[in-house]
Amino acid sequence: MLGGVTKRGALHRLGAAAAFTFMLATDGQAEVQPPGDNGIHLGVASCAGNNCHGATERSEGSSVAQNEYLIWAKSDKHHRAYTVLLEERGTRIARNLGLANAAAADMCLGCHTDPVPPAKRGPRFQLSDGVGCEACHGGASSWLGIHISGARHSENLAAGLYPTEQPAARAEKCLSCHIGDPADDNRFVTHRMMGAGHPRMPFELDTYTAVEPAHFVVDQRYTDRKGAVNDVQVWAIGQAIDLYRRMGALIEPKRAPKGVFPEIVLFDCQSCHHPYNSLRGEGVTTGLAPGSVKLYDANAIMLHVIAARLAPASAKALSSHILALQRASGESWATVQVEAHEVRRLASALSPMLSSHDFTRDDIKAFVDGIVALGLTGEGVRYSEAEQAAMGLASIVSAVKSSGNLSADQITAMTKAMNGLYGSFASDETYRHDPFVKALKEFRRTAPR
Amino acid sequence: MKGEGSVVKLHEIAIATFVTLMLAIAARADPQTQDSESKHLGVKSCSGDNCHGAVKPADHSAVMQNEYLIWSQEADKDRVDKHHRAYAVLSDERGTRIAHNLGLPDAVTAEICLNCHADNVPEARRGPRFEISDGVGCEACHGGAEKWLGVHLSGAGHKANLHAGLYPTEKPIARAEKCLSCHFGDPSDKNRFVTHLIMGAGHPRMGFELDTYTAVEPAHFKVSPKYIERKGPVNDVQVWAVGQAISLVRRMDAILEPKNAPKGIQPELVLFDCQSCHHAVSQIRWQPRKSTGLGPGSLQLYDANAVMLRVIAACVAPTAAKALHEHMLALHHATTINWDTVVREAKEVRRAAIELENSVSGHDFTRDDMKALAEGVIAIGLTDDDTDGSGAEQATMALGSIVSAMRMSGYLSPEQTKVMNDALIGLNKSIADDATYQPATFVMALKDFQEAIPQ
Repeated sequence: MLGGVTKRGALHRLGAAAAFTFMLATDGQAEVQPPGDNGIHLGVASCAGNNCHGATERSEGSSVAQNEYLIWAKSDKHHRAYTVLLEERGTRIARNLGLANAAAADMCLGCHTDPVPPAKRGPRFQLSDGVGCEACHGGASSWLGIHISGARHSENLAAGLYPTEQPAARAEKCLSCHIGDPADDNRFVTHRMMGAGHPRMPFELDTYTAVEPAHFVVDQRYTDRKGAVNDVQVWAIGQAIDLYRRMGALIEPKRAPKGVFPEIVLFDCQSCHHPYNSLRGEGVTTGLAPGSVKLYDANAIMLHVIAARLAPASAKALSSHILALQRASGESWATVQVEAHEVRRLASALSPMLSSHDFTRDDIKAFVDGIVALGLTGEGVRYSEAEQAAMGLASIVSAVKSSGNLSADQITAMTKAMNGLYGSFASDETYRHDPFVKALKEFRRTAPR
Repeated sequence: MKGEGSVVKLHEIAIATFVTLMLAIAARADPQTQDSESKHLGVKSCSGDNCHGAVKPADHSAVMQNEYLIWSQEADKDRVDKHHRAYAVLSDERGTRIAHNLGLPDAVTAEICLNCHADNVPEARRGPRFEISDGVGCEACHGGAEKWLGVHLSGAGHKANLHAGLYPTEKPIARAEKCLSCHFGDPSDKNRFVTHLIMGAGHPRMGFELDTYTAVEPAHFKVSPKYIERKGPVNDVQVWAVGQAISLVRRMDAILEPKNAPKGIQPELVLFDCQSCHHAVSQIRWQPRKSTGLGPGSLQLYDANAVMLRVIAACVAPTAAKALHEHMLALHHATTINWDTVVREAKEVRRAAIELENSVSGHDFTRDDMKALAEGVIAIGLTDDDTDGSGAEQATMALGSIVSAMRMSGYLSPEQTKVMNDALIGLNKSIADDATYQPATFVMALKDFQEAIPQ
């Protein structure tokens, strides 16, 4: 019996591993395929018992913190995702979109809740729980039993728990809402929704993991069970997958131009949304003439910094295809799509390399230099770039801190510089690149050489 | 001899008919055509102290004679005629930056800048005292003086001056065409049209309303009995109305101009309402507008002139108002279909605007008209028909013109004038900064203005 179970477990594990690898898609591009979620969603109440994940404080004796539910319920916006649909802003957005009620609209619920169909909701499932445990960790019916019984993490995964600890899988999961699925009208924020009042959606995997706030602590027990965490790697993989998804949105027929304009959400927000009495540097990074609308390309610029160190040939190709993509916007939608395919292919090829790469101290130094260099071209840094640059550097700070190679003074100096950096672009309305560049230089001064 | 006299007379009639026809009916003629031959003699040819360069307004003359001083800001340092500085600004910090961003060695040698920042006639048509650095000088608006300066100096009278080639700036249609040839530009002339490329390089936004801009230039004429005797009466409401019709025609011309068709997925953004995009992301401002029918998150063609013209039409030609409204709706909707449809609908709007231009220029605006127009403009704001920044800006300038017309026509007591001017100041404040513009503040100021209108 025991042998049988183990064997089945091993097979499960193999199956899960096979399901979650970089598979070759039909067009020959590597694609991340996270495991499917076939389980019944049992609801937050099934996880929040005080002996499970609903402890009032962090447990010392357990392999996990056990207060995950409280962190989520007290401080995490995912917890309020459903509630906000009913608040002033949510009501206004719904009205502007001609919806009777945001809390009854699939286009809102798709990301503001755990939107499984009624047939897959267990008796304790509540839509009003917002983005609850199983929205990210997967429906628990297939794995809750072994999970409670103290199965190992690998066994939980094999039974269907979503591998959020793996950067690529986490990126896919987060981005399935934080950019959304361009092919799915219930899971993609269009410019129409933005215009109706939806907030802008910046994202960077490592930073957003930290500020969620994370309901896990990377300690010895965590790394024993789930492997080491390198913030720089999380950042790098996040950039690659983010770019992959953005390019996917440009290729998606549903997002093709209707009328005079393409789907505007694919463009750099501040390319248009800035007070026109502010004269701003246009930056060489897009190669476009003044007054043009720029496609959002901050992820590509970050990925270029990463690739310049780890895969120079890809970096070169990425740079030329991103320029070509921007230029294509002045030519035709068909050309935009051709170039988006090229950029997507490059992002896709870089993902597995980033997943397996062992990021060294020298890599990190090169990334800092690469990011800081963006501010030294004399052409200015766009807000979207500044935002991604700062979050990239924040991931680097996290990685450096975790490495334990820095003195307390160095950490204090870097943290201070990091705060200065964030302060320099706190508002997109008053953003000017000069203070940001100054803060970048200050950051470089504090970064370990 | 007798025969000769008849020929001269016939000639005069022919010219008079031709001029009237051109101005009243077509009004599409390039204002430069009448000026295509004669030399521009330069500001110095006008600014003699016995001519237009007097230090103070002359009491006995038909004109003030201190026009040059007003234009050159020597009469009043606080009242800036920007035309005078139009060339100089090309070399200041902003001008230099724009040139740099456009890849130009400098702005003062670039046609694309000079054609509106100076009286940029070809070298062969510049007289010995002509200076390009005079900016937008006398002859940029009044026409090259070579052929009429003699007649003009001899005191032949305004009509004779016009016949000799002086540009009829006192006629609202002619003035509108002249001002708009730069203040909107000539879409078919790439060197006389501010594209979004130039805006993106740093060029300021270009607000315009004919009557308001005539006043704030500042005007270097006074509508006195002597003026009216020579040039006819002035009705600010008519100047405003004509300006709106011609602005709309020109905007449609710009849409119809093949050079302004979208390139790839980049349309010519200067055709659109600036604040449709240029507002802070954090400002949730969208609300349905029944005059566009567009959903949230759409870019919107600039339509503030069309909205004003619709108010004017409701007073002058109600059927035309309805047609204009429908064509504008179709035009806005067309932006969600394709550019060909946009072009087709723009032709319809253009036709409607030209018809209205004729009705408006022949209309005698009465006191009741003025009140109806003020109420019409206010209603646009109070019914959320258009409280966009661009709409608020045009509405405010419109109400300014209406107050001017009421005051000039003697409909307002000094106290009423003061109350209305105060209300106008409130309106102006509510639109002063487009970065922080809030429709609700504007609507409140509109309500105050409404209360200030004498019953």
